[in-house]
Amino acid sequence: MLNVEKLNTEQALELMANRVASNKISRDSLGAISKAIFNDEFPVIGFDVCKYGTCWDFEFKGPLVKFDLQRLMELVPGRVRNVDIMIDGITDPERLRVRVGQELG
Amino acid sequence: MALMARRVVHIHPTLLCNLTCAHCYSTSSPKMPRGLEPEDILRATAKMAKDGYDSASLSGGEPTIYFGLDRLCAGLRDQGYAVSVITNGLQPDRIVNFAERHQPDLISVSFDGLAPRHDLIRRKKGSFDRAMTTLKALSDKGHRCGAVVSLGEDGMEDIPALVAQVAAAGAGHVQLHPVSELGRGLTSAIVKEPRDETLLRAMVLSQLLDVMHPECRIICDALTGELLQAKPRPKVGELVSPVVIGADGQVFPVAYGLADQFSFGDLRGALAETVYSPDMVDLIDRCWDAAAKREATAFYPDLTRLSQTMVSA
Ligand SMILES: C[S@@+](CC[C@H](N)C(=O)[O-])C[C@H]1O[C@@H](n2cnc3c(N)ncnc32)[C@H](O)[C@@H]1O
Ligand code: SF4
Repeated sequence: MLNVEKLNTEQALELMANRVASNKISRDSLGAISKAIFNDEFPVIGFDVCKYGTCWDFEFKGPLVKFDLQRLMELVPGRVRNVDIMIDGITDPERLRVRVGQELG
Repeated sequence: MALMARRVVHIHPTLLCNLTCAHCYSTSSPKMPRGLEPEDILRATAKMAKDGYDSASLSGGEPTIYFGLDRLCAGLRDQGYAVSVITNGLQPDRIVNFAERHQPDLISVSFDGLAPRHDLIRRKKGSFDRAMTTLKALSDKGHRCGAVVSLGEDGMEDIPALVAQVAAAGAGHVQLHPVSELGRGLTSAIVKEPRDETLLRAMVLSQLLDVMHPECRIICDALTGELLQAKPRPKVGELVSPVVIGADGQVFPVAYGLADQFSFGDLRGALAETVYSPDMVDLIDRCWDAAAKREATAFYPDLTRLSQTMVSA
């Protein structure tokens, strides 16, 4: 488990980047992260640190009724702790920003 | 990764170079001849411009020591091309002077890791410092510039610090480019083509670094098999991009080093129309089917190898 509690976003990203670069991340985690990042349906548009560990912001374009939360959950690496769904509203009602807080191994 | 939206002509005007890098796919060196006449290249690119090609990228060899560089750049500009150049950055003053004269749309400086690894692969001590000086000088003068970073099986641990350095020096983009075992890279003892898992790691790393450096776009020239599967494939009769011009005058579709049978011909003679032939589409399809089953792929090295094996089979 990546201990990010005492880190700000920059430090958490740096830590993660160095772990990926020096092959200190497990094969399974690498597979899980890449599955989340390189999917066609929900592009990753942000990454942050939250109280649960790390948060990933995914984007969904299309009407809300077509948004498949279960499918997104299949893509998210680690253990999911919370999900926030934000509609862009007046600017673009067919664009969702989905923030997933999770623990990353 | 391309098969690209822009219509690109990738030109190797010469294989003459002031370095003899361990991994060089084009086997360039100081012993090579001076290269193609710029007017010969320009005759072919004029025709291609009419067909819709709009972007020329100059490689080599070291393009900044090519005898015909000024004439080639000016000519390409007149024909309406956006001109980009990739350089080893070994001669900062010369390169900045060239940039000042021609205002290329983009200059990329090549790196292979932090100084020890870079100098080892470039086979020249101090070449890393010179490349960094060149990048910074280009950026200080307001030129749009970036870095192309070759990535072998080893050495990814250098990348976060290297990206931080080139971003601080003013690079607007960093392209992580997997090494292919072609040319001298085929027999190099110090650089190996990355395995699929390493490619995947590089892709994840490039995404993280991209978020970390908002001022600099960071991409990796690889795809997961799944993403490749979802991409549209080229069709027979469509215009090829990129078209690759070799220093021997041969013009090829898509990748450097394809087997001769895929050549469009010599640019000094009768060139075939640069569209996908049935044979080329068949080659791409076969390579695509195999690559789409893999965890990750750089695609082009596989394409070149497959073309060679199809011929020898
Ligand atoms: C062939 S060089 C020509 C331009 C210039 N001399 C330079 O080094 O930038 C173009 C780019 O190809 C990269 N390169 C050379 N050999 C390679 C290989 N076997 N696989 C992948 N990239 C390679 C170089 O590092 C450089 O970024
Ligand atoms: S990679 Fe570039 S600098 Fe190195 S030998 Fe090849 S052409 Fe020259």
